[in-house]
Amino acid sequence: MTADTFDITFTLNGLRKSIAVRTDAMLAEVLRENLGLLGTKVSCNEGECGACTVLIDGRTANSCIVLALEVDGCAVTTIEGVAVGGVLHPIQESFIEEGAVHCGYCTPGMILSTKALLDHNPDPTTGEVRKALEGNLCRCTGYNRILKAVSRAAEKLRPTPGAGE
Amino acid sequence: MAQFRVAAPRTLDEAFSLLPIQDRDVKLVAGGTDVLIHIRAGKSAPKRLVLLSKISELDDDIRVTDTGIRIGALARLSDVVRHPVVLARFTALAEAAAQIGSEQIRNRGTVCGNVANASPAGDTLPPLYVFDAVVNLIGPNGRRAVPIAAFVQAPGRTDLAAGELIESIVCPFPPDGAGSGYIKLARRAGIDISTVGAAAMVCDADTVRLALGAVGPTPIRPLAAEPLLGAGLRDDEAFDRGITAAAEATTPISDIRASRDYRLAMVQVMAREAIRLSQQRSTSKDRVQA
Repeated sequence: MTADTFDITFTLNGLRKSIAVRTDAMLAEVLRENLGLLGTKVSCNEGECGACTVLIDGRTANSCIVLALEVDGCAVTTIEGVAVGGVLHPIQESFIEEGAVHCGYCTPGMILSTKALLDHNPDPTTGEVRKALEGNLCRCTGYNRILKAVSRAAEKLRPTPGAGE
Repeated sequence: MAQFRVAAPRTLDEAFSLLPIQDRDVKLVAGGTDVLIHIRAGKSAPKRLVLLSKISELDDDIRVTDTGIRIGALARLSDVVRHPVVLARFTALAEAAAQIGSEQIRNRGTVCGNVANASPAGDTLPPLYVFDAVVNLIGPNGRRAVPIAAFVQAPGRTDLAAGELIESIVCPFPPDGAGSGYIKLARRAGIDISTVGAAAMVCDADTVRLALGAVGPTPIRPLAAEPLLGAGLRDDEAFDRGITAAAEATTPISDIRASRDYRLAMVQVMAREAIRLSQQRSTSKDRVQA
């Protein structure tokens, strides 16, 4: 039980993965260094900045402070799993259209927090958007454009009235 | 290379066998949002972590019972924030949980973990004091139930004996018509640790409960001030005396977040606001006006 590695099986961006992880390895490290998914960024490495945000069973988490073995049996979505078949997700399109990407380091986390929000709340108030993104810091301070990008994405994702589904 | 070894027991018995008597090198981990951050920051260096998440007898349920609510060992802060019965009957607890960390932290962190940390600034603690919460412990020698105020003993220290862990926390339903609220003073609105926290409950036209956070080594329930505060719901002068008495029960320190003097001034403001908010939410004000 206290062996230095632990075998985990989880769903990563829709695909089943089995991998042996060091028991003290954090999820961010495993994603980046063992699985080569460099879209997940590590910045503060102590759960403050949100650059390493991923979705675990649809909910945001700071992957720098989640032990990799904790995702055994879970579904994990990283920024690499947001665009499908090379087509950008409407949230990604909106970030580009609004110029909400500056240095880009916070962007993967911002987009995943936005996705978690809009998946559950398709029409959030500005207050709800701010609350949902409070754990994602942008040191370029591009927050206004990020807020605009989120509301643009929400509009895109809402079914157009009368257009059917 | 490993900084620490991690055990993920599947059963309580397995967990108990891994929790040696009086071993300070062992840390229990629920959501890990404090333990792992402290390790990262070099504030603690346990040799072994024992994860609670895979223990089959523990659960993440928030269950409504005949007498109140039961919050399982692994119930997340974000589940408490959204739970309809918590929102309606234990409003101060939902409000406090909503103000901990970020969404990412609340999605991993647990109520029971916040209590086990016994931080003087732990936001869920003052509401749990106000709601007379009881901490259910389980260990190799059986179960016991400890009132929250007896469980939390000092910063980072609890009544948890070697080998024990928190199985759940229960809160009895407040009286019908009661209203509660939690007010947090921090340097900024998001992701900050409380400088002062105040939880209150107005049970009826003359009963107030109050608990104050980050103004002493543990949260403080100023029991001597509560009768004055209760009378103060209809008498401003008694209310002022009650607030003064509540502040006198606190023993704040100066730290990086605030000075002792600032906390002594602000605890009065926070206590007033928490009680007024609770009164607005209670139905007892109608009885007073009638």
